Amino acid sequence: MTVAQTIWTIIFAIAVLLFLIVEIVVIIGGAWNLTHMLKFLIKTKNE
Amino acid sequence: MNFTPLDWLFVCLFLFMTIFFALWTRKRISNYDSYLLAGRSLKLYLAMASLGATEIGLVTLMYFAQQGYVSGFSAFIIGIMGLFGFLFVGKTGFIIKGLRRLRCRTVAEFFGMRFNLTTQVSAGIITFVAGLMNMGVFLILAAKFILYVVGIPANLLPYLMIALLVFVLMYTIIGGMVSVVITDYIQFIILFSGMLITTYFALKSVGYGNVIQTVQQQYGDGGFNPFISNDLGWSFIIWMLIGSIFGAMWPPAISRALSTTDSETSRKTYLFIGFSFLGRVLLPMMWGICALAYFKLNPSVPFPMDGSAPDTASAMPVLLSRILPAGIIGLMTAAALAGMMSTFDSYLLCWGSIFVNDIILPLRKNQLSDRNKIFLTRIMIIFCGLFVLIWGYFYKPPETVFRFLAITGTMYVASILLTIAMGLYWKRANAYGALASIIIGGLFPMTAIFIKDASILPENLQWLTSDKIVGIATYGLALIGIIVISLVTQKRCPPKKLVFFQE
Repeated sequence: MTVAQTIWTIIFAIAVLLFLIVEIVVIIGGAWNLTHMLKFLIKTKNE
Repeated sequence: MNFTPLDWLFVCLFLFMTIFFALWTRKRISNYDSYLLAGRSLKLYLAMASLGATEIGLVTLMYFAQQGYVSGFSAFIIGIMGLFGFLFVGKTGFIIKGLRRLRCRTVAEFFGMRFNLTTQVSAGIITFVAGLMNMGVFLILAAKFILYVVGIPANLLPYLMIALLVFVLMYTIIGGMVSVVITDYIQFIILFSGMLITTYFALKSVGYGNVIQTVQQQYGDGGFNPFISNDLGWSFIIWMLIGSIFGAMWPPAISRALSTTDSETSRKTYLFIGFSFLGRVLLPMMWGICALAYFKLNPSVPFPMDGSAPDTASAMPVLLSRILPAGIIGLMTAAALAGMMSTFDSYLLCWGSIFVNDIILPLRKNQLSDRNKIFLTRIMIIFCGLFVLIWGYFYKPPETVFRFLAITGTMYVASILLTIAMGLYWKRANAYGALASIIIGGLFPMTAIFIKDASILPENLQWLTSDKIVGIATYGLALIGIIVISLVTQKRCPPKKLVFFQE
């Protein structure tokens, strides 16, 4: 592979890795946040 | 049909879940703020899920795949610049932090606070027009994806477009931002997982070595070096680089930033989701490059056509329909539907609310009740949906779809975001200067959008049909417009000061 081909290959691998990390973090953290948001909206509606 | 019963099961399960949550959240809406901004109660990870799902639509997968097919690995430069834009906004809080501290509902509202009513309404109109034109190609691309992946006959395309539109309209109108956020979370999980799985199968089907070899044979060194690429080149990179600073601030994305609990959460949302932005661009581009290799390796497979011209945007869904195993193809279709809906619902809600908040309400003497505002927003959402249906079916972009989105995006960025940046960070910007940059930035790109045949213009004006040159010129002229006109009219129109809320 040429230098340009190697650089794009590495960048692509990094992109896949970051994509996976963000997905895992958001899935776990988002579940907590979702509970908070719904409690807040129900409270506002009741008030 | 390419679908097995297992594939249908995945798709139906996903659709059922979406409708269920839209109806369930309807009962949790108490006022206009909770309809439009989920009561400004979004915390970091949920805001990231919502922004991530909104920024990856089915249309995103389609146009990035097409760009990968047409430009090879050189197209990756778009992802690098996009990442730079997100990280810049995430690190500095550029624009979003200021808007959040002003508690704006929409970007155009800023113009009323910093300048005057005329600029607010003008900004609302330009945002609305640029946004609708930009969104115009979404529905047809989404329908083409479903058409080829599922294996539906091509003559059913208009009916498929109508069916998709009705479905999205239904749950956007019912739930507003609360249902958008909850479904965004589910869609984020399905979408991100589906994209990773599809990338694995796409690369496995053709082999990475063949991918590299095909791009080298087809595009030469231009397939790996964006500066010498026939499709991209220096002017394209300069144009994209300027836009990348603002690229993360398309109104639906900003509406997420304005829905968060505070300005710091807005900034962090951009910073963290920015890390996934590279994958958002590069993964579908790789599918497009794999499609290029697949059709070269399998010349007997018929290439999709749009009339008599090759339909490069549809090459990727044809590839997926042939390489994904049973079950996975259903999961990917559910992911694609998730992507389409998460983008479409946010965009419809955003354009509908901009029309009501920034065009109708500022022009009315009497205030509307929350109930009437929600009703009016819902009517506008339906109008926007119908426009997208008609525009998408009849308008044919002159270049790739990404290039069309980039030039319509420039209309908004050069006129609205550039003016907001000047309004936030340059004390001498005034209403006349703002109006000048809104008009220049909003109207100049129209030449590249509507004049498709350069030969009808005199030779020295033919550059007006080049999206790359017009894009760069628009930024330059809009910036000169606001600086010169503001300086000349300082006495006649003194600049207004902004009052920020404490957090």
